[in-house]
Order: sequence, then structure tokens, then C-alpha cells
Amino acid sequence: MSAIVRFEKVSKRFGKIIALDEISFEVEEGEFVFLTGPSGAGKTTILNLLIGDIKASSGRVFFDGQEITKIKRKNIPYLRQKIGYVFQDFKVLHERTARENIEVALAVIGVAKRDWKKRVNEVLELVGLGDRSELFPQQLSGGEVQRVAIARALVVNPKILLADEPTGNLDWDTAQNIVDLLSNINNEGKTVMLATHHEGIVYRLKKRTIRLEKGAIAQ
Amino acid sequence: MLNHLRTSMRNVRRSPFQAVAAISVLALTFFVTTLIVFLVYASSQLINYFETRPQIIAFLKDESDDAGIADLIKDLSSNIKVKGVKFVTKEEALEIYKKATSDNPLLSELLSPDIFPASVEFSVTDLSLAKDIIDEVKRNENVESVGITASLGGESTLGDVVDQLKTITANVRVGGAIVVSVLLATSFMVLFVVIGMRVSMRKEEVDILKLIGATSGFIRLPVLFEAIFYGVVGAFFGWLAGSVVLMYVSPYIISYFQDIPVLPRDPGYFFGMLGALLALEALFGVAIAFVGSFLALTRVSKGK
Repeated sequence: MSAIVRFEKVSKRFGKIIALDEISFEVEEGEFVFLTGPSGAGKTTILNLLIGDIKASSGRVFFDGQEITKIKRKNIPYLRQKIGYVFQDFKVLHERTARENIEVALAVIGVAKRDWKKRVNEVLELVGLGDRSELFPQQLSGGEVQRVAIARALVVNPKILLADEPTGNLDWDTAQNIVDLLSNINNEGKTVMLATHHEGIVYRLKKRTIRLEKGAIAQ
Repeated sequence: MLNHLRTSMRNVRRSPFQAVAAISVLALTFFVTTLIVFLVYASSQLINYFETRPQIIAFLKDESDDAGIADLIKDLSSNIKVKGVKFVTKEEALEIYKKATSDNPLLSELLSPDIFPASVEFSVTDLSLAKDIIDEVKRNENVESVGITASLGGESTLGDVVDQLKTITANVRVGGAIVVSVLLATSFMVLFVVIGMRVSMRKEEVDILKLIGATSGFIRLPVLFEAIFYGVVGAFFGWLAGSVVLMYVSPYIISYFQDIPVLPRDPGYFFGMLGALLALEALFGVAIAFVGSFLALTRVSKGK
């Protein structure tokens, strides 16, 4: 297996605050990796570096063989189209149905409309929302909305799925279901990086864990 | 592309009052523009009419011979400052008189052509040259006297009337340009604010779209299409209202000005003009929409 993500002595400073301090690690293709640590440890910073939302202060970040630290601003959307991102606050479009939220991702990558229905139905079945596709986010539970977000991330067939505290706004049972879903997705071969401070979830899945403390890798 | 169009139409439907406001202001602008364009056209036609109709009449002596008259006509026709040279016989002069007094036939009943002098009518290309040419014609041995078109009030006022018309036309043009410019600027600002509000309202959506990999074009195109929709629809309704007003008042205007073609008499030409104006106004609408939405997007994306 080859590394799909590689961080080489990456530092990120926000003014005087050091968010990441010369961290290095790799994630292999098909791997499931937890990023854990307390709030402010640098978990989200790592994910944001991967989608080109912020630039590293020093060091090099590679994704799928491409050095992201050198990527031009105009090419960032194309990088993001290869990455599925699941957010703690879901970031779904509230005035669109579950189906439309997923279709937006296909529209963004330019998939022909005639192919939408089949692909959307597939991911809706995968996340267990086959019968709720025409409902709006406010008509769904928190766990269901997060499933919509996961379906949106998956429908573009990304090379990696990044999840930033995807269970942060959910109760324990729902959180377990979401993590199980992500684990199943990983079992089908998709690389998953999951940032969480929820030790129970990490303990439950027993996957590789990168523990962060004050911007550095603790183990 | 079709997806972007659908998105833009959905955005229009979501905030109908903003859409109505933007379209109304643009429609008002293009309504006034349509009327001003025709006003400028009419005033130009008015000047053209007075400048091209026979302005000067050289009345010939009764004893003038044909050769002398032919020489005079030849001299005038070869003068580049003179146009529309026409010989009017005594008989034709009587006919003109009869036509002019047709409401009172008694006035011309007992007249014979002999009492009317034959004449040569002509115009000058530039009214400032009129005096020199009149003086020159007066020196011709066959010419009894030189008159100016009666309706203009005589030699001394001929230039004044046309000058006055020119001043009015210039004022109409300048005034019209100012009014249209102010309205265009207002429309631009309204469109800019409406689109800016739209983008601000959609900021969360735009942020999400960016995070899932939407390109700048993907985000901007629906906004641009929405603005173009306002521009084109506003231009169409403004043009339509202006056209209806013009079609309604045309018979009265034509009847008032009679022989002066201030508005096109040929329906084909009239509607052709309206069609060309619609195309031009739609183009302006699109241009305003394009620049307005581009600036609004840039401003909002900079977070100002």
C-alpha cells in the first residue's frame, strides 16, 4: 500500500499560537485513522491543511502524490473534489432536500444529470436514508442529517473521507451508528481520517490513532 | 449550464420582492430611454425637415428668357452650397396658390397664371451661407426679387428658427443623456445592492459549496444569470411600456405635425426601429447585470 496522505515536519502558526509543531505522519490508502486529542490540539488544523483551507507555515503536505503546500489557489476546488469532508455541524443546505443536498456534490464535480439518480440512490441506501430522500434537513434527526452529509461526501467517490468531530453534536447511540457507518465505508476500501476527542469511540473501533497534544504528536 | 439557470430561477422565486424591485427600476430606466430615443429622433427629423425643404425662392422677371433661366438653374445646381433646385412655372405657382387657399376658393377663382411670377426654389446646405447666396442670386439680371419660405417668417428669422430648433434638439439630447445616465446609474446601484444582498444571504451556502469543491464559476454563474434575468426582463418591460405609449400617441403626433415626418410613417420602419431599440436595451441590461453582479460578488467575497 502507498501513502495517500503524508505530512513532513509540518508547522502551522496563527500569530503567536502554534497550532501544529513540526508534525510528520503518513496515512496509507484504505486505512482508518483516528486523530484524537483535546480541543485545540490541532486535529482540525490537519484536516484544513489537507483541503487547502489554510497553508502550512513550514513543512510539506502531500495528498495522493501531490504537494498541497505548493498548490495554486485556483486549483484548490479540484483538490477538494477528490476529498469527502464530513463536518461536526453537518454543513448541509437547509432549503434543499436530502437528495438535493447530495446532488449538489455531483453538480459541483460536473457529473451529467442523467447519472445522478442512480448514484444518489446508492449512497442513500448505504447510509440508510433510502426512504427519507425527499425530506428537508429540519425534518430529519441529527444523526440522519449527519448521514446526509456522509452521503454527500461519498457520492463523488472521493479518494479519502475526512470527518471532523462527526459525532460532536450527536447522542451516544447515534454517534456509535455514525462511526459504525464510517467503519463500514472503510471496510469497503475507502480511506478514512476521523478527528474526534471522544475516547469511547476510539476505544470501540480499535483503529490506528494519532494522538495530538498542543500541536505535536503525543505517541 | 442548465443547472445554473435552474438555480438562478429558484433564487429569483425565493425573494420575489427583491426581484420585483430590481426589475421595476430597470424597467423605468428603459421606459424613459425608449421615449427619449424617440424624442431625439423626432427633433432630428424636425430639423432635417426645415433644413431640407425649399428655403429660398428667386422670383423671376416676366421678361426673362428661357436661356437666362436655364443659366440661373445651371449655376445654382452646380453650386455645392445649394441643393434641391426646382423651377416653378407661372401655372404651377397658381396651383400652389389655389392649394394654399383651398378653404376659400373665391380667392383664386378669377386669377390667371400671368399674375404669378415664375420662380426658382432652392435650399442651402448650411443656413449660415444663405445671405451670401441670396445676394448673389439678387444680382442676376433675370431675378426680380428673392423671398424666404413664408412659414419661417422672412429672411431675418430663417436662421433663427432653425437655430432655435437646433438648440432645442441639443438640449433634448443633453438632457436626455443626463436623465438616462442618472437612471442607468440608479439601476446599476439597485442591481448591485440586490445581488450583493442575495450573495450575502447565500454566504453560508457559498461557503459550503466552496468546501465541497465548487469552482468560482460554479458559484458565480447562477448569480450572473440571475442579474442577467433582471437586466433583460427589466429592459423588455421598459421597452414594452415605452412602445405602447409611442403607439398610442403616434396618431396624434403625426396628425399634429402633418407633413413633418417626426415619427416614421412606414409601420415596417417604425417597428424595425423598436426592434433595434429592444435589442440595444437588452444588451445594455445584460452589460449592467454583468458588471453589477461581478462587483457585488467581488465585494461580498472580500467580506466588505
